[in-house]
Amino acid sequence: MSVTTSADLLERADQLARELAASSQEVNQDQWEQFDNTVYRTLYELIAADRADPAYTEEGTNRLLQALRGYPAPLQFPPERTFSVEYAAQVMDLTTEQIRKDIWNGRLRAVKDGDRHVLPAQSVSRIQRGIPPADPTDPHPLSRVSVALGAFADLVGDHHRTRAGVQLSEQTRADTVRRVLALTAVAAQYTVKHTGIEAIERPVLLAKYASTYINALDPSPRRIHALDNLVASIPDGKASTVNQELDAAMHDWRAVAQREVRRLVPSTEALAAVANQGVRIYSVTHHLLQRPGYDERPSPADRQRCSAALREGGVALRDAQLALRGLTSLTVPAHDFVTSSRALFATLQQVRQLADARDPELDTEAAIASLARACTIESELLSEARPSPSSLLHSGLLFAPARRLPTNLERLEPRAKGRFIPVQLNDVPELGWRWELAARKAPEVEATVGHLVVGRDQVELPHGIEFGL
Amino acid sequence: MSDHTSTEALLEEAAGQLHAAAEFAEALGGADVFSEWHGLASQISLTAAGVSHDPAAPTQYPSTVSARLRTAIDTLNGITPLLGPPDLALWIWHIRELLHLVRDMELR
Repeated sequence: MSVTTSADLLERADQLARELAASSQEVNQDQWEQFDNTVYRTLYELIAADRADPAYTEEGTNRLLQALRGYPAPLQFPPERTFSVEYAAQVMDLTTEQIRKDIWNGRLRAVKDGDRHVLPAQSVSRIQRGIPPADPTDPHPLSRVSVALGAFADLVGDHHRTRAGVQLSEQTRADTVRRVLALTAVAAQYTVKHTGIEAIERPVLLAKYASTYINALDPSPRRIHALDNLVASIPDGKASTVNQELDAAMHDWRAVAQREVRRLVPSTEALAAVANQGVRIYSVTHHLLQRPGYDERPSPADRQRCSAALREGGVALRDAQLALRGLTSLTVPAHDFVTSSRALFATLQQVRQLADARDPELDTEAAIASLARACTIESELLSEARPSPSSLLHSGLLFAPARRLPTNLERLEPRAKGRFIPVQLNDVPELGWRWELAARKAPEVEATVGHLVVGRDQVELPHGIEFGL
Repeated sequence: MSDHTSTEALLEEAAGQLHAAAEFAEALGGADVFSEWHGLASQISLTAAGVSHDPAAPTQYPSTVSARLRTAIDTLNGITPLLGPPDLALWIWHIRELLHLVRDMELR
């Protein structure tokens, strides 16, 4: 007799997600919907299936329930469940008054539960046709993940319904939910890259949702959960040109970077990445301005002034970045920040390449205006981040391996044992000043570049900033 | 060596390989403050911070940034899924995405 535990199935799903990441097969709509539906079912079984209904439908502070409620409009709900009017309004993007009116008019099926109406799952589900489970014989890597995850959800569900075995602790649930969310983020980001542009909206939503809640469920005591939950803003527009991609990438990055620098104990690597992203922004701006054939409206003197400011600013920001090298606050950067940083870096690379190739797909003037906006964002971020390195230092929250710091008597033992120790002011005497200087230079760059694009009206659209006519 | 110690050691080893990749990218950027390689190095260091804060010195130094990233992926893939951090699969994904970026840069 062979025995398969839920741990075996989760391990299998995790392993298959890694294999999926290494593959390059296209994903079709059915495969994606099966995966999407399986993820929700898995989270539901892990988080809510064995809880009393009111805990699921009412507002609460339980982080796992918040994560489940945050799932972007599930395609289908477990058939045996009923939902409150308030919850139905949330997932159907309607007001509670509209829901009650639809129930009154017979457009929505509801049943009486005591003195209130509740809605059966079918009334709330976005997709009324059945979504079959993934085919176990389908060799597609995403289907294989769905099958393993579905089997895991079935086993957890059977456990709840038979009331056999042990109850999962909240910590075990949170840990398991984070694993499921991690492989969801991988599968969703994979699908974004390997499916048609018309079908990416839902995977984009799921990728953002999963990344956000992996961080929100992080047990690290230094994390401010309330702030993490604030930024799960999801743009509903899609970028269709490289200029729009640039605006969208900046828009996303700004939101998560702001949250990173505002963390109670920010990640030093995240702070360094914010400074470095500024250097990239300045670099591409400089490159576009110097490109032969660029609109001659800015005078040569203006362009020269701008070029010098960008280079000086770049040096200041790079010095600030390098001042943090080898130091750590032992805080892990959030996944969505890592993703957004990489996405903006990649988009800036693309803009630069298209400019070099004089590709007509790139509107150079609009790109420079967008980069001017990026300079403003960078300036704001550095202004907020400026005190952080010094605060970390003075609070004893900035660490380095003892072997990398000058030796004294107190440091001999931690050095021998390979430990981290708090960094002292005399170890990094220029740290605070470097960040001060970067934060002073950034507004100068912002003003100089902004001078070149003055007069264009900026309009905020769902995918980011665009310019009016 | 316990499973926990072994997992920690592999995470530290992978972080060390990522730092080695970042250092190589820094070296390619040289003294040019606007070099794209410095930007890439920053992205790699950011990702390394998610893998481990205590990078171990690598035992091998492949001759390209992409080869160093691949070594890190192979090391992390050596961790049994449920023994690693819950979000390990996503960190591996981040490194794979960096690998795509590096390949484009190395081809130019």
